[in-house]
Amino acid sequence: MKNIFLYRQPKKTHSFYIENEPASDNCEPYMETASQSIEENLNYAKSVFSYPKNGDIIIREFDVSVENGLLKAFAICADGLSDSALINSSVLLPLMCLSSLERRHNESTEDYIVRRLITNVSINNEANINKALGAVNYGDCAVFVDTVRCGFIIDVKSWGHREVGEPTNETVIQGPHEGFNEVFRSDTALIRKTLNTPKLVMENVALGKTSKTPAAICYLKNIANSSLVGEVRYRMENIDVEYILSSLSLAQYIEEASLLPFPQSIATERPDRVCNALTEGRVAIVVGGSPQVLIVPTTVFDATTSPEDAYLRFPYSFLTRIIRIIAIALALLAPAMFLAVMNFHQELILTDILFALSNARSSVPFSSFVELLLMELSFELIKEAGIRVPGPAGSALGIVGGLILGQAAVSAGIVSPIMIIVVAIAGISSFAIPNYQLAFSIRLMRFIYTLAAAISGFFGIFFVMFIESVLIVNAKSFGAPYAQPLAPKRGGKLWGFFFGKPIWKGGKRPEYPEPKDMYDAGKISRKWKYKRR
Amino acid sequence: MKSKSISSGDAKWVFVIMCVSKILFSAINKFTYSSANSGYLQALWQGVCALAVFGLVALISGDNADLLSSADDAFGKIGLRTCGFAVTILLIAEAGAMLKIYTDVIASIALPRSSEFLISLAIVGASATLVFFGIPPLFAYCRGSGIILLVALAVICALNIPNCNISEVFPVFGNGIKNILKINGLEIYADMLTVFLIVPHLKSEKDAAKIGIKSIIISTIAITSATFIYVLSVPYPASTLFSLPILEIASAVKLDVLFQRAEGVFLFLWIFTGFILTSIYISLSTETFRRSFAITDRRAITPIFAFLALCTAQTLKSPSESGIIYDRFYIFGAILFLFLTLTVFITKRIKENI
Repeated sequence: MKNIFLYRQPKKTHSFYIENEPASDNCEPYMETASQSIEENLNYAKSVFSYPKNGDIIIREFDVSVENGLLKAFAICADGLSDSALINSSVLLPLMCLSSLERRHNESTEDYIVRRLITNVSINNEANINKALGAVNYGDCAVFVDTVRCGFIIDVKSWGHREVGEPTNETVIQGPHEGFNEVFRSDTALIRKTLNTPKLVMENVALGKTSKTPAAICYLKNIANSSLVGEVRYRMENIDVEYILSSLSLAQYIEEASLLPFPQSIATERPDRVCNALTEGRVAIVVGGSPQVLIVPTTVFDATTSPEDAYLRFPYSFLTRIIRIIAIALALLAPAMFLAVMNFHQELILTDILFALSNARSSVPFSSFVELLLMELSFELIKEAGIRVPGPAGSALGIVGGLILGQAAVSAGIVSPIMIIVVAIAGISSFAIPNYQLAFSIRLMRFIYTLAAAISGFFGIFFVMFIESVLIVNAKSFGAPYAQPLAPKRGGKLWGFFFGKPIWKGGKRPEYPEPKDMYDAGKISRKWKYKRR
Repeated sequence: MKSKSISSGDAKWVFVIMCVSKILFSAINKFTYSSANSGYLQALWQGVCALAVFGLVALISGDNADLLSSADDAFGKIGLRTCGFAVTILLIAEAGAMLKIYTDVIASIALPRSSEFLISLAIVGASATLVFFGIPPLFAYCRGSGIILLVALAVICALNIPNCNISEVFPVFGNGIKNILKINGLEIYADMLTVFLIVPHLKSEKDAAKIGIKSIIISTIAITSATFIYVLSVPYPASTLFSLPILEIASAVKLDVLFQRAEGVFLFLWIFTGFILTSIYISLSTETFRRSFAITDRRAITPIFAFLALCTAQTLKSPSESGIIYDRFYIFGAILFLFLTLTVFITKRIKENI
C-alpha cells in the first residue's frame, strides 16, 4: 500500500541517443597496387575487410615452394560466396603440394603460378590490390604470394541462385525475385553479392546461452553511425536467455517499447530491401534459421513503404503510395467512422444515404455496434482459419466464409448488407498494407477505434487517435524518433517522404540513422544531361 | 529526448497552434464587430502590432531570454519563485478556462447526451499522457499536428470558397481606418510570450526571438486568411452574430458527397486543438513550477496540475459564463504576463548595466 501514499523516485533507465559522427575514412590505410611484401598485403587485406571482426571473411595463410625456397602466401575469400572444395582442389592443393616442380629458364614466379600451378579455368593477375580484394565480394578467391607485385583472382563463385526462393510475404511484380532462406551464410552471401563492397562488415554474434544461434550485424562501415552499431551489438550481446531461434524473437528482445502496437524494426525477406537500408546508414541483423532479416532503426512511415516503390517510375509509385495511404486510413477507421456516423452524427451524412442505411438496418435485431463486432469477428475467424488450413482448402474456406455465410447472414436478417460492405472494405484495405506487422497492428487498433466510436462517436475516435499519435511521437527505434521526419523535424521535404520523388532527385540519406556521410550522390546525379558532348 | 533538443522548426508550431486556435472561438467576431467588412485588415494589423511588441520584448530580453533565470538574476530566489508561481497560476487558469470552453462546445455539437465532466476528464486524461512524456515530445508532437491542423483549417476555408461573395469586400475600409488601426484582439498573440519559458530546452538559446517572429508571421497569415474567407461568405452585420465563426462557415459548406457538410472537419479541428492546447498549458505550467521550486521529478507533479486544470474548469458553470470570463480573464492575463515579462527583463538589464 505504501506506493499509493508515498512518493518514490523513479528508477533511472538508460536512454540511448545516436550521436553525430563525422566520416572517418581518412584514417584507414590505403594502397593502390599490391606490394612485394606479403606482410604489407596481408595487413592491408585485414584492414580493408575488418578481419577478424568480419565473420564471413576467410584468410588462409600458407607457403609455396619455389626453387628450394619457401614463399609466404595467403588466400582470401568470403564464406558462403565461394566454393571451398574448388579452392582446396584448384588453388591450395597445387600451390602447396605441386609447387616443387622445376621452373623453366627465365620463368617469373607470376607466370609459374598462373601457367603451371593453379588449375582453375579462370584466373586473372591484378596489380591493383583494391580490385583484387574487391573480387572477393563477388565470390572470387584472391591469392597473394610474397615477392609477386600482383594478386591472382581465381573464379570460385558458388552462391545460391534459384534455390534461393521467392519471398512469400513481400512479393513484387517488378524488381528482384530472390528472398532470404533459413541458411545463415546464404543470407549473408546474398547481401554481400548485391552490395559488392569491402566496406560491408558482418560482425558475428552468437544468440542464446545454449542455442548459440549464429547472427550477424551487417553495416557499411563508411556510412553507418558507430554508436548505432555499438548499441545494436550491445543489445544483442546482453540478452540473458537460453534460446533465441529466430529474428522475430530477437526483435522482441531488443525493441524499446514492447506495448507499442507498431513494429519497431522492419522484418524483411528481401535482400534488395536490406541493401537499400544499409546504403542509408542503417543496420541489418541476420539470424541463422530465419528467412527474415531485421532492419534498424525504423520509423512508422517505413512500415508503409513497399519494396517495389524503388523500382517503379515516379508517376506509378506516386499513385500506389496514395492508394496505400487511403488503404491504411480505411483499414483503420472505416468501421469506426461508420459506427460514429450511424449512432452519433447522423446529421453529417446525406439524407438519402441516411434513409438507405436506416432501411437496410430496419430488420436487423442487433445494435450497429454488436452487428459490426459480429462481422469483424467472423472476418478475423475466416482470415485466421485461412492461414492455418492447407492452400487449396484455404481458398475454399474463403469462398464458404465470404460468400455463402455472408449471403446467408443477410438473408437471415442477422446483419445488414451495408455492414458487410464496410467490413469488406476495411478487410480488403488491410491486405493492401505492405508490412505484415503493420497490418497486424492496424487489425488490433481497428477494434479499439470501433469500441471508442461506439462509446462516444467522433470524440472517441479522435481521443484514441490522439493517444496513439502521442505514443508514436514519443517512441524511439534504436535512438531514432519513431515519427521522423514528421516529428521532430530533421531536414528533408515531407512531400517527397510521403509521396516519393523521382529517383534522380534522391542523393540525400535519411537523417534519423545519423549516417557518417549524408549524401550518396552528387548534386547533379544525371550528369549526362548537362555535360557538353 | 535530450534536454536541449528542441529545434526552432519544431518549436514554432506550438505557438502557431496557441495563436491560431483562438480563431476557433470568437477572435474573428472581434474583428468583424469592430471593423465590419475590413475585419481581415484589422487581423493583419494586430499581427503587425504583435510583431512589434514581441520584437521589443525580445530586444529587451538580451542574450539570456529565459524568463525564470532572468527573474533569478533580477530579483534572486524570491523573485524567481514569485514570478514562477504567478506564471503557473496564469497558465493553469488558462488551461481550466480552455478546457471548459472546449468541453461545452463538444457537449453541445457532438455529444449532447453525455456528461460534461466525463468529456473534461477524457480531455485532461489524454492531455496528461502527452504532458507526462515531457516538453521535447510535446513540441515534436505539435510540429506534426500543427501542419495537419492548418491543412484542416485550409480545407474548411477552401470548401467555403463557393459561398464567398466578392462584393462583401466593399466597403474596403469597413467602419473606418481608425477602427482598423485600433488595438483589438492583440491578446490572441499573448501566448507568444511563453516562448521565454522554454528557452533552456531550445537547441540554441538565441532561437527564442526567431521562433516568436516566425510563429507570429505564420499565425497572422492563417488568421487573416480565415477572417477574409469569413468576411466574404457571411455578410455584415450577420457576421457579428455567430459565436463560433469557423463552425458557421464549416456548416455552410455543401459537400453533397457522402457527407452533407464539413462539420466533421471542424470537429476534428476542435477536438484535436482542445487536446493539444490543454496539454501545452498543463505542460508549461508544470515545467515553470518545477523550475521555480527546483523539483527534480516533473512527472510526479503532472497529475496534480492536470487535476487542478480539471477543478478550474468545473468552477465555471454555464457556457456563456465561461466565454465571458475567459474573454475578460484572457485580456487581464495577457496584460499581466506582458507586464511581468517586461519587469523581469528590464530589471535584469538595469542590473547588468550597473
